[in-house]
Amino acid sequence: MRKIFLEEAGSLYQRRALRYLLIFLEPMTAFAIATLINAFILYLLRYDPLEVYSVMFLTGYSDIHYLFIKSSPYIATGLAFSTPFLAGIFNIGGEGQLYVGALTALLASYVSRNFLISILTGSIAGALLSGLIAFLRVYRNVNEVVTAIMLNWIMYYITSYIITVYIYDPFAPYQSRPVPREAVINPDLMFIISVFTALIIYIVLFYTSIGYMMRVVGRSFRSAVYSGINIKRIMILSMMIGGGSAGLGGALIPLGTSPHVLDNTMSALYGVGFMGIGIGLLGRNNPIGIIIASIFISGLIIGGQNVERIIGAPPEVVDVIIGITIVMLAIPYILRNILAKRGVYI
Amino acid sequence: MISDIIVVSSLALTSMTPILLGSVGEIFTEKSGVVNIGIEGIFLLSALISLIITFVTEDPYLGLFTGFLIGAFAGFIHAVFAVYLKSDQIIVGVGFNMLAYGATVLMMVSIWQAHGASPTLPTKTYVISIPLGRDVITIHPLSIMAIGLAILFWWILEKTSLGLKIRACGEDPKSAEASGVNVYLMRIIATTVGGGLAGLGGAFLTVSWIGQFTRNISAGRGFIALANVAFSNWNPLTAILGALIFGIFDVLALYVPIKLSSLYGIVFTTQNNLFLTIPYLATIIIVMIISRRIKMPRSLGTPYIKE
Repeated sequence: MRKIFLEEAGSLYQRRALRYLLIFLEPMTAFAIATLINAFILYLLRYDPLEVYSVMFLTGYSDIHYLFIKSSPYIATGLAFSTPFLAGIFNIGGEGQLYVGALTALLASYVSRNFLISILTGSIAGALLSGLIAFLRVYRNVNEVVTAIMLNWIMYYITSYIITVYIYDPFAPYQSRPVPREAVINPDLMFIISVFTALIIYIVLFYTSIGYMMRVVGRSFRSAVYSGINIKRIMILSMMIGGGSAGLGGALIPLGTSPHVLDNTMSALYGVGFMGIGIGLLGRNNPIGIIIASIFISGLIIGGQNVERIIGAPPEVVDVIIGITIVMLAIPYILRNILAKRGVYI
Repeated sequence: MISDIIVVSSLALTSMTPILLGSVGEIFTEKSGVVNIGIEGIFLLSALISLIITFVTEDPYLGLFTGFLIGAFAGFIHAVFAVYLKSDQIIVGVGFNMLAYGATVLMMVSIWQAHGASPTLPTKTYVISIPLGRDVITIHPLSIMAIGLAILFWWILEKTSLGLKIRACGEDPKSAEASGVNVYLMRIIATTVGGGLAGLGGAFLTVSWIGQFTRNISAGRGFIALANVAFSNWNPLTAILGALIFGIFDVLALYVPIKLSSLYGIVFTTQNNLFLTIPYLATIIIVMIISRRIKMPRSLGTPYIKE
């Protein structure tokens, strides 16, 4: 089906330029279709789509500084989905890994009063949780989707339990005691840490032999078998890098965002892990793309909160848009197929 | 003790129903070679829309039927993406779940201005009540029907030519096509009907069982149904047993703290969260134990490309 026509599509450079253009065009097309379908849903529910979108897009991106801070944990959860995805394993447990990272970082901050130790603890906890999912998949053939969702719920309730039973604030029993002042980090540092993590994962994926092996396992299982790659170990490793990243994202939330507590419904964390799936796919599973996608989606999320305040439609509008975008992105090579019908093969 | 067992099993008969309907639908879908992990989303959407229809028409049975239609429609859309657009079926399912979560919250807020839970339904579907000592056991006719449907779909899959065609599409679509089976059509039929069954399960949640919609009402049941598909080894009859086991753990999450507090006088408030992990922990452990011997349809999840 997919042939490579050297002559028809112009010179090598033209084709390469077209390919880079498509990297942006495909996610944007999917997103545009999603906003249109969502506009129809909003219209059916008697909201004015134009009003909702104007609030969402105009207010969401107005405060650049806040936008960057907001995007930090999303970069981490986007990486949590994409790193294992490149190695052919599906991590939709970013949500649970985020919870466990936030909780353990909070606990570690009480003891150590040091942000670095807290962040590391959170990452390790996230990595161990995702490692369990990968271990069960690789050695016991348990579907990773089911395990991941079950662990998300388990971690939700356990975190809530620990917050309200052991570390509750005597003056506000529905939330935890705050992070000690010595361990609090500057919000700007959150963004720097996330971007730094993304860059490290980028280098690991594209410039080291381990990253190469991960991508081979993801691209072609058979080639990986024949070239003697230890597939099981590579899959577990990729999953643990992902989980560690989600744990880091979770750790950043209580340490870096005011009021530096977790509450019993996880309101600061809820959905950040799931949104990572959309971010990873929208960012084309490339760490640099994920940084861009996180900033873009954070604007939508900020805008969605303003929509609730100004118009009264719930912020879950963003979930609808991103959900449809994910469905659209699942169609392989949308534009490529359209172009192929017109005789342009790239 | 004996009354506990009877009460728990009668409650489990209720809580197993959506899981059973979801699993049987998913088995039917997966036997044709399509995997639909959007059951969770179908549960959410059909639970809410069937509730709305019941509120408007005051007829819970119409609500149940609407739930079936919503599920079938979602299944059909999934089939179009999986069969014609050759999409990654897992990603479509994940996206659909997210869309369904967002859309149900959006609808709940726009219709009732409620952020957590909808109003309660005045008339639910008919229940059979059997007095037993101090307790009253309630059995939903749909629970019995769900078991009947599981047997019916086992019969369709194993004993009819339609079932043979569907299974052929899941095992080896090329050979199926060569012997004159329309693979695309079979996969679309199976995914649509499977989605419809899951939709019925979602409608059962609100219209028969709970009577109101709460945010994320399905609470992972769609994925427990997926776990049950693996547990049953793609056999609707074994899925009945699996659903009962998963249903029992679902009941225990609420029953254990109530029983403990009535026995020992301990009042659980915030500690309740720990008991709520029971069904999810049990699911992981059960799937872990049985996962070695499962045998899934060979072409599951791979798009069929006509030559």
